[in-house]
Amino acid sequence: MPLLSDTPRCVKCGEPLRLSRLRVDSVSCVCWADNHIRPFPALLEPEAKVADEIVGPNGQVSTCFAHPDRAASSVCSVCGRFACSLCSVVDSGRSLCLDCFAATQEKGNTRRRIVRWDSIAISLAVLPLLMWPLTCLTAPAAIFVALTHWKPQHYGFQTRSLIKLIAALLVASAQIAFWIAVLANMDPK
Amino acid sequence: MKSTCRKLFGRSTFSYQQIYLDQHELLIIDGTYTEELRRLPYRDMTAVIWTGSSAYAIVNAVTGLLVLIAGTAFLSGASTRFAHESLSGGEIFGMLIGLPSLVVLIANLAKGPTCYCAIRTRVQQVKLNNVNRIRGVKKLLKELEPMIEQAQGARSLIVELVRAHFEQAEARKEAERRAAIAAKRGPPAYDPTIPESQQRALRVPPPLPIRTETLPPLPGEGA
Repeated sequence: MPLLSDTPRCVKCGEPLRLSRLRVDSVSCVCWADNHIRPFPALLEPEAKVADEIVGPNGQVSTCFAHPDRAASSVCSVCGRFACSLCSVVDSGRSLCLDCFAATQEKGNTRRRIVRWDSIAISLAVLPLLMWPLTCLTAPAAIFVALTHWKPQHYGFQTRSLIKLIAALLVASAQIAFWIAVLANMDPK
Repeated sequence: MKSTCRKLFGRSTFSYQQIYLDQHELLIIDGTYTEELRRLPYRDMTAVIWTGSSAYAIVNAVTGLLVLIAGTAFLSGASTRFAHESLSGGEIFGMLIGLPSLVVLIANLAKGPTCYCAIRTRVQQVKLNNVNRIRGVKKLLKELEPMIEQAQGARSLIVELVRAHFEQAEARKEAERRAAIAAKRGPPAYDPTIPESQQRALRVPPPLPIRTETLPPLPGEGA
């Protein structure tokens, strides 16, 4: 039986939708928004199906390593611990527990958060052009950021080019050249 | 190793979100300078929800009005100008405001109605900021449905099953609520469906008043 707290919520106001009033594919919210919904079978089974391999010969069900009150739904392919649907993460087809997933993240195989140094470098090079005197400070900073992070950043499944870093270097170099020219032509008096 | 990921939605004008389809999960990258990756496994997806937004009508109304005003200004400027004169103020205004507005209006009409869209999983609801057109939702469902059906099974009669399940859940919750209220109140004072003989047994006598004044001594008691 699904829990009412698991019900999909209105995309506009966030109130839980009354799916008992579902007609064809739409249901109205209290905010009058007509929410269209495409439900899937998992909506009727809040708990993941228990895998065959973790049901014992007498039919007893193994429980999650971290949550003893929840049935295990998978086995970690690295450490072999039982994990419930909340604790298991599927990564490239492998089922991992949260500890092993965190360990793979630390190794850099599956990163979860990255700082986009190429976006920072291009912003440092381009945005200060709106207040151009600032470029004497930001252009060297852009070059520093671009050179210290000269490596395409990605999550393992993407291929990202160095185009932003190259553009940042070119724009910042042009700005520095401009400042050198200004200083060189400056009257010493 | 070659990645099996495929980009479904890239960054748009007002959203930095990117959506990728993998073999087992949907990958969502969100953020500008610090990006975060979310993995939504197909086996955990419970629903895709979307609702129309008013942005389409508002953009059409505003750009349509601007095109109308700029067009009128352009035509009136052109009609009052002599052949040898340069462009009049009305014509310049018409071209500067009218043409970009016309481009935005045509692009908006071509892209179709706008909407808000979200994916619900067993543990969270994720808003898809760059799926903001009904056409985009159709594309998302076209790509996503076969993957989810492969992970969860076919969704035949799912609407009827969902409705029945949630009707039952609501009925059970309502019954529990009524039972809790009834337990709080005590038995009902009078219920016509219960025979009179049982009504007396159910009836609770009112509590006796507490007397606070001191009672006179009984005969033979005290001094």
